[in-house]
Amino acid sequence: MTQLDQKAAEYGIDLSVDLAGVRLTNPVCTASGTFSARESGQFYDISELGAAVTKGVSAVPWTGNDTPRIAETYGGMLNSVGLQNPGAEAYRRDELPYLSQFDTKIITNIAGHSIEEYCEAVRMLNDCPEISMFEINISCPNVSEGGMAFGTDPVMAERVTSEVKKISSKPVMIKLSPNVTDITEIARAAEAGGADAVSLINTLMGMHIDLKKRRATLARKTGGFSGPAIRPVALRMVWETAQAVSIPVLGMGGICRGTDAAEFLAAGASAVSVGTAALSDPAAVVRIKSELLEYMKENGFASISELKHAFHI
Amino acid sequence: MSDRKIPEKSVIAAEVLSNEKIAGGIIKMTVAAPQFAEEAQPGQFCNLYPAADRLILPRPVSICDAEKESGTLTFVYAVVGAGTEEFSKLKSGQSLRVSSPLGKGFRMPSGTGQKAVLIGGGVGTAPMLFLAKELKKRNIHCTAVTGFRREPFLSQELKAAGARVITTTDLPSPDYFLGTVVDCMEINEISGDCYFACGPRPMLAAVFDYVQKRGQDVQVSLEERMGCGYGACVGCVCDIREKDKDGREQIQRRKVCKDGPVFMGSEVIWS
Ligand SMILES: Cc1cc2nc3c(=O)[nH]c(=O)nc-3n(C[C@H](O)[C@H](O)[C@H](O)COP(=O)(O)OP(=O)(O)OC[C@H]3O[C@@H](n4cnc5c(N)ncnc54)[C@H](O)[C@@H]3O)c2cc1C
Ligand SMILES: Cc1cc2nc3c(=O)[nH]c(=O)nc-3n(C[C@H](O)[C@H](O)[C@H](O)COP(=O)(O)O)c2cc1C
Ligand code: FES
Repeated sequence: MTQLDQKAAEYGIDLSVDLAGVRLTNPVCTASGTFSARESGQFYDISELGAAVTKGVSAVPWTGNDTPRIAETYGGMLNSVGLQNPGAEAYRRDELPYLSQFDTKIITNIAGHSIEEYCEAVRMLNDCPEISMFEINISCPNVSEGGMAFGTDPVMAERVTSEVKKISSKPVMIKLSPNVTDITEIARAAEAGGADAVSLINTLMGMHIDLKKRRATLARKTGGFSGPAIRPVALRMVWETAQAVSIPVLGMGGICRGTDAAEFLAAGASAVSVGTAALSDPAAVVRIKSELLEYMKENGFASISELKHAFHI
Repeated sequence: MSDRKIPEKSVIAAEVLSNEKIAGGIIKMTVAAPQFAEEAQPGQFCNLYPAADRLILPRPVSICDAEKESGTLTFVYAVVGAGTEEFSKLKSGQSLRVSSPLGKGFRMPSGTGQKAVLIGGGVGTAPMLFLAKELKKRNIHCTAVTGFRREPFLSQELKAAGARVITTTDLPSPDYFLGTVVDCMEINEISGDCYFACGPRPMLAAVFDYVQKRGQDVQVSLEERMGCGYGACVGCVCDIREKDKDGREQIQRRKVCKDGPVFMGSEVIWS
């Protein structure tokens, strides 16, 4: 038992949640692209995580975009990493065995340029017993083809979901883009395609200009906007989506503290992911879990469902 | 698996012991961090975290000095934006969030009695002090060629560490060489058994050119915009030439924060 799980037991608080049939010891997970087992694990015990959501992986290696890929903005940041990753084979060989020694669930985030590429990556990892769930990223703003194109069109979103569902032997969660007029339309399309869960939000499209250098700060000009500045938008979208679909929602976007996590759970999320906060504080995910636990103790919530039912929004 | 990590890195609230201007817009800050001072290697950096909520990314800053005896780390930084501006206002007794030493630093030459050339441009001089001290312990003689746009700094500290110091500036002065560090090395025919450089990329490229002409190589410390600063986000890559297992050359995108910041000049794609 981890240090915090021990503490929860002492408090008589049950932090566990169910996400599309997968039991998580607690609702606090990493967000794809901001976690790497070997590196993040230098700062905290990975077994504390509800789930380790890993960096986007594609069927073949991707080199990503040129640098600069990172810009800081007011209370947030932009990234244009462009899903650089060593491919499904390397992920299977290097990342999975390492990660599987920890007592946490593994959710593998999948990237692709086409339905065929998403399916190919899923096919390559389908038989890995370590993986509990696939999260399909149909919402990356940093790749030219595919990526966000699937996440902004309900017809495409439903198609990619149903095609992946046909071959996946694990629950499938679709990661939604906030760069749409009505996110519930895409969420419903994913549900119609057979999704077991949806996760949101991915980054918002943003831009930053370097006044000294007189050009865009990012080599790609635009990038994905994340961090505390986007939290109200993310919370609103999680709330809307949780009402619109009957499948569970993994909520994220700017979560920095335990009370932020509580807000997302109150808005209808079954569990939460912590992304950019791990850049401001490498051990943020564990701190947030600890703060959520203290918040529950102070407010007399013995379980996550008690917390959720205490709110009338 | 045998390589399972127990958490060994951390971010601490370190007490600021001093934070003083040493040249125009350049500040030297010493903080108490005994554990980190013990672990630090020359060429490594620490992430310094601004306190303001609106500044969410770490500021990577090279370790200028690490003293095990006093348990302190020293940084020398230029005030260039909101983060370093905030650091510049810290008073002794206040605290600053500092990460464990990160990245792969300079590889130490194996023999003793060799001659090393240390080349620093502007704040790139900072890691050269820690390096000079460690090289001296290994009985390696150091020549430091340091270049500045205007006011030089760290010359006394480098001399105290036993290095011969040659300083260049862009402004005419009787005390300093006028021109670039590479001009200076050419005119003074400076050479050694090994070379280390940190500074703006064009300077590093010119230094690599200089050593390559002599059939030698140089360890260079690179800079890139960082997200996490510890290897999790793949924000900080640079293109590095590597040989695969069949000896074929290929270009890999490596993380400056994790695989670097120090690379061999011959590995870097300069253009
Ligand atoms: C490995 C490494 C070692 C460094 N060592 C030193 C040092 O010893 N002394 C020193 O003065 N500076 C050093 N720098 C540069 C230092 O990180 C930046 O000057 C600093 O981050 C600027 O922060 P700011 O908020 O004042 O500037 P702003 O321009 O307001 O910063 C905005 C964002 O851009 C990033 N950024 C801005 N300039 C740079 C830069 N040159 N390199 C990387 N990121 C940048 C910041 O971290 C921040 O995320 C180093 C950089 C790297 C990568
Ligand atoms: C540097 C970086 C890389 C990311 N990479 C991915 C990725 O590979 N796949 C993905 O689905 N989302 C990726 N994201 C989006 C995050 O998982 C998350 O949805 C978003 O950042 C909002 O949460 P946050 O504000 O807590 O960061 C990335 C975000 C950042 C900042
Ligand atoms: S800055 Fe995140 S990997 Fe280097």
